[in-house]
Amino acid sequence: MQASVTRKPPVIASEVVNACVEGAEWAWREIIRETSPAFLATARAMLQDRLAAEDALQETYLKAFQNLKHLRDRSRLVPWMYRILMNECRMILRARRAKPAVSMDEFPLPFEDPTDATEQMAAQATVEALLSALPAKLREVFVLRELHEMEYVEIARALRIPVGTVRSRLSRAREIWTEVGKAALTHEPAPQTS
Amino acid sequence: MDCKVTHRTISAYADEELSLPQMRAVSAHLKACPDCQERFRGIKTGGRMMSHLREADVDFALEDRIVAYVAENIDKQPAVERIAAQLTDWRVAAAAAVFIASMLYSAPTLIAHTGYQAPWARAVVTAKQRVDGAVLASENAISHGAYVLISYGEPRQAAGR
Repeated sequence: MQASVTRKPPVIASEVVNACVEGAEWAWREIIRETSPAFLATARAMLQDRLAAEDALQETYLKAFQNLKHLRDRSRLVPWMYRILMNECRMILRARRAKPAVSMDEFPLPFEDPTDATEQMAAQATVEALLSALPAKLREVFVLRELHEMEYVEIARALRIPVGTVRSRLSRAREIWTEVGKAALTHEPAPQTS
Repeated sequence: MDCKVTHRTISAYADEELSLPQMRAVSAHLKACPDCQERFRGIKTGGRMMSHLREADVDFALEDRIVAYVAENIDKQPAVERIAAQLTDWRVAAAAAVFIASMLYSAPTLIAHTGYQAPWARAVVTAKQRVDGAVLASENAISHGAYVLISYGEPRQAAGR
C-alpha cells in the first residue's frame, strides 16, 4: 500500500473512535490507516531515522488507544495524537542527545527542484540534514506547519503552547533554516543553533 | 513599517496569520525593500523544500506490526494509571487516618457533653487514656535519661582533662 501525506490532518469519524475505545481491531486499523502516513512523515522529519520513527509510531498508537477513554473531546483526537507523537519523538531525541553535530558535508547539492529519483533522494537527505540543524522545540513547530500546513492555533493546541510561542518559534526556525541552507550552498560553517 | 518590524512579522505574514492591516503593512514594505523580499523568498523556499518529505509510504507490514504491538500491550496498565491507582490508595488511607484521629479527639468530649456511652466511644476513651499514659511514661523516661546524662556527663568530662 502506498499513501501520501495529506496536507491537512485527517479527521476520524466518531463511530470509529467509539469502536476504538471498545477495543475493536478494525477501528485501530482504520485510525492507523488514516493517520500513519502523516504521523510517519512527521516522526521521520523529527528523528531523521525511519526505524526510530516507526518505534515512535508504535508507542504513539499504543498510548493513544490505552488512554482514548480519558479523552473528553473526541473530535480533537488527531491533535491529541500529534501531542503524544511529539512527546515520543522528544523522548527518543533525549535518549540520543550525544548525537554528533551536523556537518556541511552531509548536504548533497543541488536540492531545490529535483527531477529524477536520485535527485529526489538527495533532496530528501538535504531536507533531513537541514531539519537536524534545528533545535527540537523549533523543529516540531516547523514540521507541523510546513509538512501539514497546520494553523498556528492547531499547532498551539497540539503542543500545548501559546500561539505567540508558535509564532516566535516558527520565525526563529525559518531564520535558522535559511541561514543553514545558505551556508550549505556555499559550504561555509553553519551558524550555532543550540 | 521598517525592516526590523518586518523581520519579526514576515514569518507570520508568509502563513497569512496576521491581521489585515498588518498584512497590508508588510506587503507594502516588501514591495519597496529587496532585502526583505529576499528573506520572504527564503521562507517560501523552505516550505517548498519540505514538500520532498510529503510522500510517506506506509505498507501493510508496518500497519500489522503496530496492530500486533498494540494488541500485545493494550492491557498492560499505563504508568500514569498505575500512579493514579496508588494515589487513590494513599487517599483512602489518609482519609481513614483523619477519621480515626477525629474519633480519638472527639470521643471524650462527646461522652462528657452528652453522656453518650456507646461501646465504641468507651473503647476509644480507654485507648486514648492508655495512649496518654504511654506518652506520659515515655516523656518521664526521656526527661529522666536527660537528667542522668547531664548529672554524670559533666564530672567525667572534667576528669578526662
